[in-house]
Amino acid sequence: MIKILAACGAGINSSHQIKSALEEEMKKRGYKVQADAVVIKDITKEMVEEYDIFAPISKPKFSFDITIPVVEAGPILYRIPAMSAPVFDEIESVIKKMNK
Amino acid sequence: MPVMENLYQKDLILSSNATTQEEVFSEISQILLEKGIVKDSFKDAIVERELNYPTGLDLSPVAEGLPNVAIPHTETEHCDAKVVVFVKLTNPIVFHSMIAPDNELNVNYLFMIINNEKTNQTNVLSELMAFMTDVDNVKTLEALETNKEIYDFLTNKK
Repeated sequence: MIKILAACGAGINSSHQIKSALEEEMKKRGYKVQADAVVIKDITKEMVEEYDIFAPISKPKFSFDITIPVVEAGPILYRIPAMSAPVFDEIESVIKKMNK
Repeated sequence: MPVMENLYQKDLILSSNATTQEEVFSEISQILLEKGIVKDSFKDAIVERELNYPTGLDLSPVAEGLPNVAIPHTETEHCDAKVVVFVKLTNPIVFHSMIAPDNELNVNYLFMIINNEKTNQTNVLSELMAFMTDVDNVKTLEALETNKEIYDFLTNKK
């Protein structure tokens, strides 16, 4: 099981959309993925370390280093294949490297 | 789009001659405050929010030559209603991109998402995205002149 942390700035649930899109597409591609959606300002170093992949809407600035692979997932929100496919491909390639 | 149709209000299809984010947010916040749609704290909150988490959307991936849009929004605690406020900008205003915050975009239309329901999971964003990633919708929007025409189009009443 690959655990993904999706994150956005709060207010309109974009991280929930990233979460469900990633779960749906990775399942289609044959991976067991479970994603959670959080607000960027609630993220702590300890929280991130419980996940395998960090998928924020865009590159956030934190006071701490993110030690897991980061895949910027914002383009998924367009819900058009030309934008979302590269994100899904990148997530898939990160998963493949993990050998889980 | 049954969800979206109910989120637009005839008196909240607006246009603005503002030339900066600060100006347009001041102007619109004042209108929304007078209508009891947002709290006093809304204006500062949305200005700051846009600085930290920009909401510009580059529509060039949808089709070349489309105008860009932004979907400003802020935390539910500053809002007293659930509506989408449409603002046509006579002068394009620079917004940073939501998905690539270092990029600047000239924005012609704002869809301000006002939401006071913390637990709400309905996807206003995905509805808006579905609308904006349809070339015909954006081109029609560009061709419309009056706020009344825009309202009728956004709510499928044409």
